[in-house]
Amino acid sequence: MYTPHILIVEDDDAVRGELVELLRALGARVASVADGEGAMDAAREQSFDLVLCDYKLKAENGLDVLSALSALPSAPDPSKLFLMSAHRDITMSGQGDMAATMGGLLQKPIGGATLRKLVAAAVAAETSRC
Amino acid sequence: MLSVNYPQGFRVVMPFLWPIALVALMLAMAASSVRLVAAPGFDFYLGPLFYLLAYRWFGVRAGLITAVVTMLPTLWWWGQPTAILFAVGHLLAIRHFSGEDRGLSTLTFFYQSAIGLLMGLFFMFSSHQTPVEVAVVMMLRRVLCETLLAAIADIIVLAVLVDTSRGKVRRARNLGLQQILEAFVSLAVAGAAALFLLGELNHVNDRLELHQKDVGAAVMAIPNLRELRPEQVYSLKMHGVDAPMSFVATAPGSLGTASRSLGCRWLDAGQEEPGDRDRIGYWLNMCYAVPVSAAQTIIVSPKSHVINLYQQILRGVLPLMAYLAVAQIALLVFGNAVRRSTHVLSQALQGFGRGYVSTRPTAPFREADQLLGSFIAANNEFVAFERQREHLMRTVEELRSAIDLKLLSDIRFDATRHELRYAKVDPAMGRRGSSLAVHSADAAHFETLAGQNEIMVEFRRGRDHGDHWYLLLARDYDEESGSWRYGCLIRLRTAKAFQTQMRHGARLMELGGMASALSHELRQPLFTISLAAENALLLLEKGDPDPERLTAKFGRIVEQVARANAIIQHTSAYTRTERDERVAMELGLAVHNAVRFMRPVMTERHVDMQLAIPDDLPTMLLPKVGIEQIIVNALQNAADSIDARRETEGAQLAGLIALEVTRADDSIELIVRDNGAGLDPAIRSNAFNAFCTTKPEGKGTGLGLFVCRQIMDEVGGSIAIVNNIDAPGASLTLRFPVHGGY
Repeated sequence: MYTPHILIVEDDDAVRGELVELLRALGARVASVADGEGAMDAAREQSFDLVLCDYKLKAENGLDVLSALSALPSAPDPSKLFLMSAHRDITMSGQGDMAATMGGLLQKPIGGATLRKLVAAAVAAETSRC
Repeated sequence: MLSVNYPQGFRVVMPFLWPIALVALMLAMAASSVRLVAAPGFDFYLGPLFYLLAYRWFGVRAGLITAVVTMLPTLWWWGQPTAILFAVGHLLAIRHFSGEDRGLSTLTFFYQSAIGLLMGLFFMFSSHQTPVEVAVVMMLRRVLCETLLAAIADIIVLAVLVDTSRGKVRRARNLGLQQILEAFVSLAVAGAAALFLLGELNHVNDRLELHQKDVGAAVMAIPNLRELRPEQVYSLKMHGVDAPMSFVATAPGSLGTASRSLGCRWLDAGQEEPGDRDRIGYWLNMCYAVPVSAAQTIIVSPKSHVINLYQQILRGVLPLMAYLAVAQIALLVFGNAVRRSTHVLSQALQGFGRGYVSTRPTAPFREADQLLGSFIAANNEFVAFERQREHLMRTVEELRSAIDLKLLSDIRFDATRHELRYAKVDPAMGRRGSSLAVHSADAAHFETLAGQNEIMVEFRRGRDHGDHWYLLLARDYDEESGSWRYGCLIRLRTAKAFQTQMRHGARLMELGGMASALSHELRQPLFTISLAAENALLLLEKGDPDPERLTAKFGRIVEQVARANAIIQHTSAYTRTERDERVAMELGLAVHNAVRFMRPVMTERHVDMQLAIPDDLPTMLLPKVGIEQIIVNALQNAADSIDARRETEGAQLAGLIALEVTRADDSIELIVRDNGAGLDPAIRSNAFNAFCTTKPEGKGTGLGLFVCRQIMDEVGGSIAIVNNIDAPGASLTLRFPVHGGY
C-alpha cells in the first residue's frame, strides 16, 4: 500500500506534535515545520502529497505560505493544499486566486475522522494514477 | 332694541323677529281654524314648524313651551291631550338623537313613523273604532306633514342664524353639505307624498258629495222598492262602486231607530250643508236619507264605500312612503359616511406633523380618500424632513456643547498672574471682558509665544487639577499692547470623568471582537486535546500501550485544559472593571452619564432617547462604572433591536428608547424600554447566559447581559428583560434595593 507524504506547517508545538503523531499512526510519512521558511525548505527538498498549513502562524499568514509553496516547481497540485484555522469568520471567498484553487479550509478543532479521510484520499489519488 | 329676559334664563334681543313670529303664529292659527281637508289644522300643519324652530334657535325649554302653546287648541278638537304629548315627545326625541347634528326631518320621520304610528293606532282603536285603513291613512298624513314641516324648519335653521347672546339674526354664509342635502331630500320626497295624499283626501270628500246624489238615483231605480220590509238590512250594489252598501227601508217616523241599526250617527238628506262634510269622521258615521214616499224613507250607509276609497288612497300612497323610508335610510347612511370622512380628515389634519402615518384609515368617499392619501403623504414627507432637522439640530447641539467655542478679541497673557485676559465677542451680548486662569505647568509655554503673529496652543485651566483642556487660536499680534487682535477658545472635552467613561464604554464595545478572539484562543487547546485523545485511543487500540507514551498523552490533555482555563480566567478579568469601587451616588446620575455618552451614537443611528427621572432619588452605594456599563449595554442592545426591526419593517421606523426611574418602598427601578424587534421567545430563558446572542457572528459576544447580571448580583439587585405587552419591543428592568447600606 502507498504511504502518502504529508507536510504540517503549525506554530503551536503541542498541536504540531500531536498532529504528526496521529497522522503517522494513520499510516502517513510526516514532515513538520513551524513557519513558512521551514515549509519552503522542506518543499524544495522533498515532494508532498498533502500540505496542512495553519492560517495564523507566528509571523505569517498561512494563505501566503501556501501561495509561495505552490509557485515551486516541485509543488503538489493546489487541490492538495489545506489551510487550518480556528477563526470561524474566515471564508475562502474573496481571498484571491490561491484560496479559489486550493483544497480547502479545515476548521479547528479538526476531527480524527476528517484526517483519516484526507489520508485515504491521498492514497486513493496515488493508487489511481499508477 | 327690544330686550326680553325670560324667567327660564335665556335672553332674547331682537328688533323684528318676535313681532314677525307672533304675526306668523296668529296667521297660522287663524288659517288652520278653517278646516283643511278633513282635519283640525294646526296640530298637523303648522305647530311643528313653530316649536322646532323655537327649539333649534332658543333651546329645549323654548321649544317645549312653544309646543304646548301651539298644540293647546287640539284639546278642544280632540277632547284629549294626545297631540300635545306627541309634540313634547317629538321634541325630546329630537333632543336625544340630534347629538351628531342630524337633521330635524330625518329624526322627525323616524319618530313619527315608529312612536307616532304605534300610539296613533292605539288611540284610534281604543276610543274611536275607526277602520284600520282610515287610521293608517291619517297616521301617514301625520308622518308626511310633520316630516315636511321639519324639513322646512331645517332649511330655515340652516339659512338663518340667531345669536341669542348678542341678539343678532344673520344669514348663514356656508351651509353643511350633509344637512342641506338631508333637508332638501326630505322636503322633496315628503312634500311630494304629502301633497299627493292631501289631494287624494280632498278628492275623496268631493267624490262622496257627488256619490250622495248618485245614491238617490240608484235607490229610486230599485225595482221592488215598495215591497221592502222595514227594519230589514239590504245590500245595494251600484254601478262604478266596488263595495256594496247596506241600507234599510223605514217609515219617516222611525228614522232614528233605523239609522242606529246601520250604525249611523248623522242622517244627511243632501239638502243643507253641514260644516262637517270635509271631515273624515263625518263620512264614516253618517247615512244618506232618501225619502221615497211619504210613508217610506231609504237609509243608506256609505261606510263600506268610504273604506273602499281609503283603501285605494292607501295603495297609492304606500309606495311613496316606502320611497320616503328608503330615502331617509339612505340619508342616514350617507350622513354617517360624510361624518366619518370628515372625522378621518380632521383627525389627519389635527395630527399633522406629529409623526409618521403608516396605517391610514379609509374615508368612505373616494374624493375624501384621495384627499386623505395625499394629505398623509405630505404629512410623512414633512415628518421625515422634521426628523432630519431635529437630528441635525441635536448633532449641532452636541457639537456645540462638545467643543464649546468662544470668539475672543484683544487676547493677552498675564505672566504674573498666570491668566489669559480677553474680551468675549458674543453676537447677542456684545463684547465683555473676561479672563481664564492657566495651569502653572502650561504658563511657561505661553511666555514663549509672545510676539508670534499666529498661535495655536493647548493648555489646562488652572485651579481645578487640570481636568479641563483648552485650545487657543489667536492671530494679529500687536506689539504695542502685547495682545493678539482676535482668536477663539475651544474647550476640549477631556475631563477625567469623561475619559473614564469613554474607556469603559469602549471596552464594552470591544467585547464583540474580544469574544471572537476568545473563541479562537480556545479552539487551539481544544484541537490539541482532541488530537492527544485520538492518539491515546490509537495507542490503546494497538493492544500494546506503552505506559509512558499514554501518560504523556493524558499529561498533554491536562496541560491543554489548564491552558484553556487560563484563557477564560484572563478574559473574565478583562470584562470586569479592575477597581470599580462603590461610591455614594444617585441612580439618575449614572443614567444621565450613560445617556450623554451614548447620545452621539444614538443620534447617528436615528434613535431618540427619552428620560423620566424623579428629582428626589436617594443616594446609594453602587459600583459607578459597572452601573454605567449596564446602562450603556442596555442602550446598545435596544438600538440593535431597533435596527433588527427596521430590517423587516423599513428604515423609516422611528427608534425610541425610554429610560424611566421609579421609586418603590424598598427599591428603585430603572426600566429601559425600546420599540425594537423584541426578544425571541426561544432565547428568553437563557438571555442572561454567557455567549447567548442573537446578533450576527462577530457583532455580539453574548456576554453583555451575562456581565450585567453579575454586576446586579453583586449589588443585591436583579435584572429582568421582557417583551412589551402593549407594543413591539422589549423592556429591561434593573431593580436596586434601597434598604441597608452596602
